[in-house]
Amino acid sequence: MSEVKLISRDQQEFTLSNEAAVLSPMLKGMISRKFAEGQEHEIRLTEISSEALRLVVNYLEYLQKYQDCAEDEDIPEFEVPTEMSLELLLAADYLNI
Amino acid sequence: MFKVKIRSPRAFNSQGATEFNDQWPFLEKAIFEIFDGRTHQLSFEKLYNVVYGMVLRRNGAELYENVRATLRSLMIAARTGELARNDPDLLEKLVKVWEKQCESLQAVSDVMMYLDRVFCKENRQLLIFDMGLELFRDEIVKPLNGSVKRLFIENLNEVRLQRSEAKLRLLKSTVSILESLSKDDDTYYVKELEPHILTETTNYYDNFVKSHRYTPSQYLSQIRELFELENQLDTEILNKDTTVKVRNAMKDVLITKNSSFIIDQGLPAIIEAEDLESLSLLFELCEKSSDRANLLKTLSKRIIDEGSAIKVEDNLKKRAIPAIKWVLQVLRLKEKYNGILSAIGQDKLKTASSVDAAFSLLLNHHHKKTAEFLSTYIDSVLRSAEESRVPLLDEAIGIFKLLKDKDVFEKIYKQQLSKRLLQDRSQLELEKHMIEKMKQEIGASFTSKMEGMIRDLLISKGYEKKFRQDYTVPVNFKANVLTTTCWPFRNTDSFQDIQLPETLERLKLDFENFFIKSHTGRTLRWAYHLGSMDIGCQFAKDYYVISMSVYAATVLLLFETHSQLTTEEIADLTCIPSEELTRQLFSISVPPKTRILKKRPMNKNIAPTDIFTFNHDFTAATKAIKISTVFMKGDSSLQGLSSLQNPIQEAMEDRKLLIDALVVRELKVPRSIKERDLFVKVQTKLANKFELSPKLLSESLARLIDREYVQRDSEDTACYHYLP
Repeated sequence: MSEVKLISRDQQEFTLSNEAAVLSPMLKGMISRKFAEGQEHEIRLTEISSEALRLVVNYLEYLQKYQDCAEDEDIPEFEVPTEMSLELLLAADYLNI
Repeated sequence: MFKVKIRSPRAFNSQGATEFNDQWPFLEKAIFEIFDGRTHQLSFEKLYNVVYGMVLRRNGAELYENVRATLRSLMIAARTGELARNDPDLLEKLVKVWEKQCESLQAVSDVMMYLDRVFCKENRQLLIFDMGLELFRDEIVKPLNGSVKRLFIENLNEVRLQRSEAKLRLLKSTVSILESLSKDDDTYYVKELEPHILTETTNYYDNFVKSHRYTPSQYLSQIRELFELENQLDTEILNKDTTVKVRNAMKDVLITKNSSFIIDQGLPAIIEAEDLESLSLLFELCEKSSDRANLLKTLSKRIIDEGSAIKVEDNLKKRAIPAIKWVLQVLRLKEKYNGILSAIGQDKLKTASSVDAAFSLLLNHHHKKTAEFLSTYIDSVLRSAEESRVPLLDEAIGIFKLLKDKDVFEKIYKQQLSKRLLQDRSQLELEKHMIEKMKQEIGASFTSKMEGMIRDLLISKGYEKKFRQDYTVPVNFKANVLTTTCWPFRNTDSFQDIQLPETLERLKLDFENFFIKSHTGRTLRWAYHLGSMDIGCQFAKDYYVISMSVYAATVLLLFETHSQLTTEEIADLTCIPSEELTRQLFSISVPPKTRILKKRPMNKNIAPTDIFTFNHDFTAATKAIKISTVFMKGDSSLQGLSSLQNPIQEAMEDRKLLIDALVVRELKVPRSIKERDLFVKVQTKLANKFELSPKLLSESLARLIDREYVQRDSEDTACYHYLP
């Protein structure tokens, strides 16, 4: 299975490719070890709201897209809405991004 | 100013119990389940969330210690449950336990990720995974240390005898386990297992060698196989570092420890048998510098032994023969070692230079007459009519290169060269080739005079041609005009003119006139003692062509007009100096084979009153006869002459002058110099001529002090000052 389902605290589901997910060490540990999540390809993240998780998913996809780019290539900034910054910071800390 | 509203996040980790002690059993249970292989039943997120909460509530330290205790108990359980010290399959089981523990540990470590990241890094604690490895080491490997090592070596020795893929995998896994564990500043493997492997390897091969009996070459090929096998095994099992160390340990035990066997006994036997394959192997195996040095030393010794064993024959009649035989044998020896050198694959330059050094020692210290012998050998080659003389000459250059007494060689060579040239005994092309070779070796200053000699001869040929055009030449006359400085003849001033027979006298004057016309200001001096003359003579029984010196011919021709003459009369008529005359008369009247004059009374002394007559009854075995001038015993003047002509003594005298001159030159600029530095400087300058010995230098300094060129320092006796 090449996709994982991320479920937010408020039960919203997001799908993310495995390759993007493993960029978070925490998600990687979850998927690659033989824990229940790895079997079911469903990860419940009871700590994170859907707004924050959407940004997290976007960010991981953004990271995956540009991670192999050379430094001198044109990489667009990843926009974070100011009002989300604190919440996202906590989520990033939790996910070890 | 405008305000940005930031959404305040909901307090994280709000649900569930908040007390550490309430939550820990949940984690502990999970850890047990992970180690029990039931990871799939656990929710990573839940565990992670609990750890996250504990760390946020500053219970990190407590959690850390609890995890440690739990892991320790798990490790101990694993050891006591599955691993027994005297289980022959301990290694296999250890590897299995390791694989399982590692995987579980990794899972635990992932769950504890937040603890690692926040608590461990801030508090400088080992990460959970590394802590787990330490526990594995302390609780599982350490108690089993002895058994693990023993089993490892047993297995290793077994695969040395018989290859087994399973065992190799086992050994490799064991190594990689121990490499993953740390001890002090290095890996557990490096600290514990590697030294053990090295000592046991040494023991193994020591026993192996002791339990077999080989000849040196068998031994060599056997140990090469061992090296190859071991290397193959090691690269599969061990890391590069250990492989190198094992190889060195093997060299120690198989080569260095047995060097007296393989080098001292083996090398001579191998050389004897010309077993080039074993020889190449030997050099390949003796990689260690001390072994290599030992090997080269033995090789050198062998060369010198073989070389010194070459006997110099006693051959009083023909002095050249022992010399030629000796040189030929040395050349064969050199050829042999060149063959040996080409068989050696490694470190060629160093080996070649040590072979050269050995030959140099042989030629210069073990054999005193090398210079003379070599020159005589080259002389014989140049005089011979053999087809392939060039390769023979080139081969001889190999010895010339190594010869130190080049000055002595030069003297002898020049004398022999002058004889060859004047008697027309060799091909000029070959002479030139040889001189060119020597020039290439040590430079033009060494050969300039020899080249001058050749040049003289070539120019003289031109004179001869012109002379024949301009003058009537009644006999087959050939004159070589020699430049005195190039030729090895001394005392040209003492050449005395003699009364030549009329025909020759006229010829001589003609040639002088001819020469003066084109070269005003030069003087010609006739060196009769170098010339020779062929005279056809009808005796009672037969007609003979007799070749003899100009002096002897002059004497003989007197008997065209005189029937008998006394010594005194001959002296008056010819003006030949009396000592020379005595010698010449002796040569043509005393030895029975060349007795063309009869002497009365017939004895071995030439007295002034002796009477000579033409010997009509002369007979000989061949039509052409050569009369060589006899050197008489007890002739005091002759001894004086021969000592002057002795090239070795002459060279020794030259050496003194040369050293004196160089010492003065080296002292002149720095004004004072240490004897040691002076020695080095003078030695380098003389390298092309001969080897300077400290004795020669101090003798020279003593002479120079006597002559007040040099003064010894009043305090430092090793220091000398130049006296202007």
